Amino acid sequence: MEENLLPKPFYLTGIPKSGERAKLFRPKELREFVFPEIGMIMYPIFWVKYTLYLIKKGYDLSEQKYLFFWAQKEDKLEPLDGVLYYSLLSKFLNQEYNKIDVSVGKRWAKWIFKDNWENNIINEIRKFTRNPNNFDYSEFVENVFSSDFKTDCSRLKINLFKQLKSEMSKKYIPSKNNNYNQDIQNAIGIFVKSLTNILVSNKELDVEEGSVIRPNINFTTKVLMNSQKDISNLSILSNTNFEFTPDELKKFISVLQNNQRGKYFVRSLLIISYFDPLNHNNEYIENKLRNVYNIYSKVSNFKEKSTKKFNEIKFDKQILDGLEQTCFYWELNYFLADGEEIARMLFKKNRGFISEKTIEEYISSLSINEIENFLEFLEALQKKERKVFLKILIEKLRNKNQNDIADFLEKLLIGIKKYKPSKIFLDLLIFQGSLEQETESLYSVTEIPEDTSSAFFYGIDPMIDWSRTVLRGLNHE
Amino acid sequence: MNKHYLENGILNLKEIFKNDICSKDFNNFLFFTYSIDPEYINWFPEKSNILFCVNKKIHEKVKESGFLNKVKIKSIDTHAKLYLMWNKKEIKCWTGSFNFTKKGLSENIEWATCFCGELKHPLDIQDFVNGNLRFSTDNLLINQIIDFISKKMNGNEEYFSDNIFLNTSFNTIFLHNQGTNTLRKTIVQILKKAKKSIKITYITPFINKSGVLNFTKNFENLINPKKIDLEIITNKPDLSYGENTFLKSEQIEDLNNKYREFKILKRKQKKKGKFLPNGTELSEGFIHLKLIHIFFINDKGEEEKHSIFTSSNLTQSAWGEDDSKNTEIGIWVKDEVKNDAIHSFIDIFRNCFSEPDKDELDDIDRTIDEIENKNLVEEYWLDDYIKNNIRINKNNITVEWAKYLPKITDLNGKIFYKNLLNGEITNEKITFDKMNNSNFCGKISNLVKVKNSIIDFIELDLKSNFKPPEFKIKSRFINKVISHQNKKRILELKDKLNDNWNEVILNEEMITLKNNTEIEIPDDIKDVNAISLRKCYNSFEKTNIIIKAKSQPHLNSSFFIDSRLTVESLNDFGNFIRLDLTVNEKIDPPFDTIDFIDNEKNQIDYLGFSKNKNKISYFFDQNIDCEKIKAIVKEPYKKYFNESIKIKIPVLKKVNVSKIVDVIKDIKFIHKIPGLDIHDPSLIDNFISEKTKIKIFSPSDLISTINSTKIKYICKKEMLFYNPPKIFNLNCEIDFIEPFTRVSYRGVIQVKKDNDEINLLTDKNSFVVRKNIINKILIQDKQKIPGELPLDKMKNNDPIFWLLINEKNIKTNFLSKEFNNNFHLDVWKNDVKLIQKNIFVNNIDKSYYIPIFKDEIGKKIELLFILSYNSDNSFFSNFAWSYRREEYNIIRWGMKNIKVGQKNWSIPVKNNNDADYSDLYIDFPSISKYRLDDASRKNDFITLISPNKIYLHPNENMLVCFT
Repeated sequence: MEENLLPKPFYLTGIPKSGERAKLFRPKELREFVFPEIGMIMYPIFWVKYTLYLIKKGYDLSEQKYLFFWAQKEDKLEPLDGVLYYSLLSKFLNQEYNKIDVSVGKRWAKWIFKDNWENNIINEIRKFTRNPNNFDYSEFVENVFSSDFKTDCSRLKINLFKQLKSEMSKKYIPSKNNNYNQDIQNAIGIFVKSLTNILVSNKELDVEEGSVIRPNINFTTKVLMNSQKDISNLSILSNTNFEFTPDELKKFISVLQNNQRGKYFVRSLLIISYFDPLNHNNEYIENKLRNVYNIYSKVSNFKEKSTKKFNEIKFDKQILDGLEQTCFYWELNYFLADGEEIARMLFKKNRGFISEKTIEEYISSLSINEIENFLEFLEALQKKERKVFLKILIEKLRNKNQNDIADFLEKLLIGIKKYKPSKIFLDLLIFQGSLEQETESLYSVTEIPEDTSSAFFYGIDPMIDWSRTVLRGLNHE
Repeated sequence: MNKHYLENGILNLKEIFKNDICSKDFNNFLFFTYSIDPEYINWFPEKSNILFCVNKKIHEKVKESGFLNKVKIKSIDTHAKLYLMWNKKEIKCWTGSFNFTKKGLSENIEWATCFCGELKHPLDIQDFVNGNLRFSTDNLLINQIIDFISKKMNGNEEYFSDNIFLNTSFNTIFLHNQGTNTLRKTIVQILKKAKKSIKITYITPFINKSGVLNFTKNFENLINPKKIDLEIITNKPDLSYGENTFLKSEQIEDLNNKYREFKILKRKQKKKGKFLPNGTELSEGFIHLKLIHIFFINDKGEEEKHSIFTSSNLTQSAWGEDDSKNTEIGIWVKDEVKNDAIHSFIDIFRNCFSEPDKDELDDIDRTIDEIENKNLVEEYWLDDYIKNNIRINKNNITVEWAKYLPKITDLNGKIFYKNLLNGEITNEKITFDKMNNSNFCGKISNLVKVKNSIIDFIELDLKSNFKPPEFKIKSRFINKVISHQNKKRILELKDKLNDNWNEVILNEEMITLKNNTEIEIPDDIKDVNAISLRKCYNSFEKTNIIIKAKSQPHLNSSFFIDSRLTVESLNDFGNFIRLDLTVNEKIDPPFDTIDFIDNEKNQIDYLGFSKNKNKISYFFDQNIDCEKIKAIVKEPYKKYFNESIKIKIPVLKKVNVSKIVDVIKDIKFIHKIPGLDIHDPSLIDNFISEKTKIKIFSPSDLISTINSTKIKYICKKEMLFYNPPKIFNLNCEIDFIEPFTRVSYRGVIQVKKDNDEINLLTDKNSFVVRKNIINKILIQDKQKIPGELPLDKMKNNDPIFWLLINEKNIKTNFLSKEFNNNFHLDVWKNDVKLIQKNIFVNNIDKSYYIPIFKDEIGKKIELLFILSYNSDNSFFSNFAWSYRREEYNIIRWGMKNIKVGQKNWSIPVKNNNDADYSDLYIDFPSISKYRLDDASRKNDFITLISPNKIYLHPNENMLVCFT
């Protein structure tokens, strides 16, 4: 019996990429010390409240395999507590009243729904509520479901149109007082319930597991609830209202101040808020953040200006005292991202052997925009305060047993005392294992990265967006 | 991770392929492929010989990369992907759908396979150009690939792989789409057996309507398209696709109307498109593999499956019939088990694909429109200009070169002629003179000298500063690139057109550029009908261009010049209808290059023919039953004279007389191997190999009827491309044959009439030549003789010595691993087959013992040894059986010896009453006593003497086999 997909001696090729980003220079992003659990992809903070709501309702988060479609408590499935239900509801309110859109799963749900599915479903739901008895279910199926899902149903002899019709038509009852919002909400509920029934009753269908909002769940459980055993303290936040009240946000910030990881988050919230995100776009803020340590050092009332934006919220002294350090961590993260970017560009051009001279020439060939920040950081690191902060960070990393990163930063610390930037860069590349010494002055590139797209300081945009939501909520906007 | 994938048959191709190149195991590399990424040239070991056969675009890319000092490049338009690497002893051949590019090696989903072989003699890259590399290795598939590349490189027909396709039953066959197009023929051959439930699944990245129509065209006369399900598994096209490489929705609909079902399946999105149902994750990269899988119920009601791994997309470039089509290859998998596995794979793979719905089809249409609209230019290469401007007549070759065309100098060339009958290629050097009008002209001398000669291709050497490709803006986009500013017309070189152009050609006026991105169109050019952008090198560089001849100026008249029909009487043979055909004097067609059909397109057989200069006469039965006869030009002339003529048959009185010619046409001559008379003559074909001489015999009664000097035979190799027949005398043996060739022959009775030698033909017969595998059967006749023979004490049926054949003494010259333990030996003693008795002693090497008895003293013993195969399977049936004939004269030589005639040895006779007969044992030093005891118990002719010795008392017709 052949085990191969193709009979020997024929083979398939196409091993998937590992998905790991190249780490040519940067050993790890140090987001942990600026905004823990905030990653490249984060969803609106509403989903933090939603997570708390699920916990409050007694759902075991570790058991929610299909949370996008339904929440599950033991054998009972509740589609009205699923992510899809709230996404559609939010989309409707956004369409109808221009309320904030917190819908998620635009890309994730492509296996089942067509592009722009949220709007398509709402449009179909509107048609359905207008005329439920003559609703065109075939058009509904055609407009809403992806060809991938439709093909699967067809292969499995599942008549999607028939099943949806039989589920939806018998369950919908229009509101007595013709309340449009109520009717739509009911219809959305009926749709998600019907869909759940179809997905559950046709076991051959390969329903994808997932909640989409996993990053928010992680933030909620690992940062917000870090040191808390129960959520009674957070009950004010345990709801599914799409908007935040000032009280909710006050509680949110106050709880975060109570634990170490939350403190880092709050510091970054204060730093970003200083740059007035309600009145500036992300690009502006990111430009400012690149230089945040200098700005912090030069502006005498940075803390006051920043905390003022949070009305009467009291900030822990420890938080405010740590702002300078956090500003340095921001700067360090940018430096690591810059170094990574320069290394990727360098290796793109030089895939074989590299000498120190190659690096020197390469660095001098870069435009000011490309290299300025990197060089400035190395220069600034000569200064005492930054060195102290770097040493503190190294200590923290060692306490967390992250010795590799600590060693890397140690190498950086030693390098700035002795060497010019090209040599520091070279040494760090060797330390990282991206270069291997061949002769006294020649190094071979050990890894040619497959994916050499730009390296970023990931997570900044979501962090700015969340800061904006917090400030907006506090200011009743 | 890689190990897990390898277990599923998914290769980390880049890692393995790179390792093969970098390992320094090989120092010769011939990559015959569509595309390469030049940076991978770094992988090759220093001082290795590297030849890339790639298209001109890639040639230019490598040139630009500066690697030309490390590799040699030959421009060949190939889409096949064949990678050969070898050292002095071993060769490895990779093939698949993958190019030698980053995408091909590490991103796309491709098929790949590799074969290893031992080289029979050192192989040089130059040998490929010289050809004749058919059995360079012990791996037949590699041999076919080597032959294919070699033939492609020197312009010959690929008849070795064609013969394997035609005349063998191997489970894996190499296919190609060149001249004889075995790729296409295979599809037809497979579908000939299809009865119902025909489903063809074609996995391909690229597809166009004409590709689909061309693919199915050849079998549509076998099967109604409405009986065929055609399923295409492919990608969803994006803007990286080229023009005409995917179907628009209306084309899908058209095709769906043509076939029973035409279904396009595109890759599912995200995870669903990556994970197979068994949990294996595939790359989300481009589906670039090309695999054809055919399923049907055959005429016996059985399910049948066939697969072809190929380089061919489902496009016009791959399946079209013109000379400009891509060079493609395929590997036909016939093995049932393998096809079941491929069928299962497709079932699994299909899960990652879905049928586009209307919205997606609209989306695809929009993408295709965008592709068509974004591609403003057509690329022009020097070859294109030369092709369009070369004119050939009988005496001259002219390159008409306008001044606005790229600059060329030092033009020289060669014309390559091909003899249509024997395939021989000759060339003539052409020296070009530059004419006053900037044209180049060269004289041709040899074109009209040799009959059956055609111009195959023209090779031009020249110098040019042209840096291809030139961008010619498509006429419909000309207005798009011209803007009007302040009453001036400006040619805007934006986006794709923004490059360092040196020249712009407006209509037929060339303007030199200096870093312009905006060019003002001169007022004297009123209407701009054509715009081209050109780059130039700083100096003139040598370049070489090969142009396939489009026309044959010397064959300027038709094939048939005249025809005349008469009734002719041939003494003993009766009356015939005689058709005299006068043909073009530039050719000399053999008699079998013309076919005859009646009004209903039924073939009409002729009874004989004669040839006299450019006149061929055919003799038909005078009772021929049709009004008109149509003569049709066949291969090899069909390509150049696709013509026919109709000849009216006079109304003749039907005669009902038995003529000798009626007897002749039904007679079958037969073939024999001189020296091999076997009990079953039908087995004779099993012995025919390239080492065999064949004699043709006419039936004995025919010889007695006709003067035997008039009886001859016509013989020819039946190949996919034309081979001329030759006439031989009966005593002339056939020994020009190559393995896997079918040789046909028919008897010829020659009748002289006036100046004509008329050849009356008998029925056709043929045989296939197998590959010789057995070099030598070594008979150890001196090994098992006793030291002394107590003859007086022995009975007549006592053995006096043994002949021994040990398995390890059967020497093979080919594929020895497969051969082990697979042969079977039969022995005939004086035309009586010896009955094999197996004695199981767990011996490593099988050994056969043939006893010679006392009563055979004074007699002549004739022995015939026949070596055949245990399993006549799809592999072994392609290899010849072997035989050996031996004679032994056992003579009593005085009182003291028994002598074996022809052999220079004797057995001393012991004249002593106490003589011990125990010398005639067979010793087995390595076999345990237990085994020998056991063998003794089971065989009553065995007497155990001592632990390692056996005494046998065999029957007279016994062949003892210790196994």
